[in-house]
Amino acid sequence: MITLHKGHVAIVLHAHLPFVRHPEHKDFLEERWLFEAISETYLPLIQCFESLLDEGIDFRVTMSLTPPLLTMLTDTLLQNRYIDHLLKLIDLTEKEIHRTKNQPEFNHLAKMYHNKFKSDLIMFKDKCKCDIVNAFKKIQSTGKLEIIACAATHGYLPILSNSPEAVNAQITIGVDTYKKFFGVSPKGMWLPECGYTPMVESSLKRNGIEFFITESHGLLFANPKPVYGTFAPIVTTNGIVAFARDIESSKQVWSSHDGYPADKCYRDFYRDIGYDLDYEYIKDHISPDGHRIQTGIKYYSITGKTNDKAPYNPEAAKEKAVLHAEDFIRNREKQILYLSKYMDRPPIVVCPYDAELLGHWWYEGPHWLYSMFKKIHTEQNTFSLITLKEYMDNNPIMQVAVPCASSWGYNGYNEVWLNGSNDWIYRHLHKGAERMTELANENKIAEGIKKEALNQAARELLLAQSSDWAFIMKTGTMVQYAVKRTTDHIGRFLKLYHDIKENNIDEEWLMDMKNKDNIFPEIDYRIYKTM
Amino acid sequence: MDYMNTPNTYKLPHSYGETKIVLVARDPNCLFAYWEISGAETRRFIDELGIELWQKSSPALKVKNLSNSSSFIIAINDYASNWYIHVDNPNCFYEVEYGRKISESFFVPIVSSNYVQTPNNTVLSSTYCYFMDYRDFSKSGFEDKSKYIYDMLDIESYYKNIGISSMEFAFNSKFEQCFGKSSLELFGKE
Repeated sequence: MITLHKGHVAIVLHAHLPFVRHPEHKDFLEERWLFEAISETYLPLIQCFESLLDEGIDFRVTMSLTPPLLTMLTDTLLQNRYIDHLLKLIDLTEKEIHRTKNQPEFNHLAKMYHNKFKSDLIMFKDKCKCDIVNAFKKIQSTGKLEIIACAATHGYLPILSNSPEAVNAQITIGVDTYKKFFGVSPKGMWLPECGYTPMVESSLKRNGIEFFITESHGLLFANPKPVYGTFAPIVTTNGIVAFARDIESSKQVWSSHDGYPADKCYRDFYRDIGYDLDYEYIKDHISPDGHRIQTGIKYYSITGKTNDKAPYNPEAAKEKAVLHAEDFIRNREKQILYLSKYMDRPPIVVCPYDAELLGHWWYEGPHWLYSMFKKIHTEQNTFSLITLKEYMDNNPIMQVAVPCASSWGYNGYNEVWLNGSNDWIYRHLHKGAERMTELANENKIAEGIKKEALNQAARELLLAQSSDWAFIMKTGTMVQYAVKRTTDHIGRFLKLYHDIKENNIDEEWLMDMKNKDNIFPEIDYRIYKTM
Repeated sequence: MDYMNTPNTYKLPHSYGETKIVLVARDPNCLFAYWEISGAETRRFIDELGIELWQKSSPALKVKNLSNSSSFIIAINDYASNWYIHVDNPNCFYEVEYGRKISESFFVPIVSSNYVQTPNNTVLSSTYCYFMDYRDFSKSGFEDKSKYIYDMLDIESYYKNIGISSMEFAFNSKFEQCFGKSSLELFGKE
């Protein structure tokens, strides 16, 4: 392909939250993870992409939307709870506008949040008809956004891989869920936590997956050594294409010392009125048990190494996001100009980020992305944005190599998900996979309540396998919730296993579980039969 | 009632009544093994080899590097049901046996693990590069220019900073948000 550009940048956003849905409780704290991500990340990203489309800006972005997230975003109960959440925030910001009327440095921020939550409500209810997935789907149809698949419940595949059936179920159900929501087959898959082992490849290939992304050393330590480092994909001996995360651009965004989100102008994530204001005033907006939590209303900037924070200045923060966009572009230009001297094909710089970083964590992140995409289109000619699949189509001849087993977690391998805080889960997860395969082999055909029980057993096993639980146990906060979720799902699985074996299924209990853990309604337990 | 205060309905079993050892390669220099030995297996050992041998021996793991045919034994205790094992060799196949150590040179295996491969931890040197267009392999040589690309990558620095992970930050934010951890701990450092 003839192009003026010397190379490409691929922005990849990985959108994921664990499946948290508790119909049995009226107000469930952890469901707020979803609500906050909708307001701070997913709606702002949709707005960002739609604005760029309206302005005629040619951009490209790759995104993964995981099956738990797709399921939660289209769940009526959670959609209604999100609306209730917004209404409470609108109520709170009205009170805040009144409370801060003599504090101009905060009053305009209270008004900003009030307008933001009101416009979120309009966008969510009226414009998106409560269906955010459909909004992303529409953007995908323009060709600017490529959505890729992810494993069923974000299971960490390298440590599940002693059961090929467990890995295959994670990948196949991930692909099936993608097809259900988007009506087409996915070309690429985001491996949860960039967790790669060569053992995932046969299932990827069986499911028609053409590419995935690894951590930098997934390619750098590959065998044989990839001649272009991370700046061109390789093709594995199974014919699947592997891209790798760029080191330099990752550091620019993620470094805790000099990453962009650390800038003192940006909004401070942790300082929130949920902690700062009088209990009597704020009690209706924090945890029902009185535990103080974030409300999403934050009035301070990071400021610096002090607890004496300066009031947040949204205009200054936006200007800084534009400067950071320019800096990011300048550095990619330098990188690509250098690389293009030594490569016989356009270098690709792959920049994967957790989608929730943009907006939820780094409040100005969506504006950074918007400004960057606009400036890449209008202010430089060194490189263009590209999706990973486009790059493959334009540059189909690739070096053959076997990537190195790796992840993007601390120390680059499996340590985050396998250490003294969480290693106890694997005895049960491995046994669960083995028993699920045993059940599938023994029940080649099942009908009625037995079939329901077998399918629910598969759901419970998948939910127990979410990498999120092991990760939370490692981080040391919210551990109790992660332990309980793991124990509950394995416990439910084991009960179902015994009930099925003994032909003694508790129908009422089963229906209750099916209602609570209602992910993958079309699941077919036979996916677990011996491969 | 709050979910967290709901009584734990499920108590997971300590073991599944079987004799088994499972091995996982955690990283280039660390294996993780967990196991359980059934009462029947212990009785079988005693029946076949005698109570005296059982009493004079102690539980141990024999770690076998299948790639270079070396092995070593780690003394463990009767209460352990898992172990992190330091190994020296990335990119090697390993197997671990659980058994009884009678003397420095006498180990009786009871059960063997699956095989695992430790991952690589360095840039390999390679002579040949094969290229393919999905279907057709072709051979070419671009190694000369590769040197400049790796020079630019600053691999030495990457080795030191490996695992600057995006998920660490974002997930911390997701799960710590209820606890008001200071931003200074992550960002805000000047």
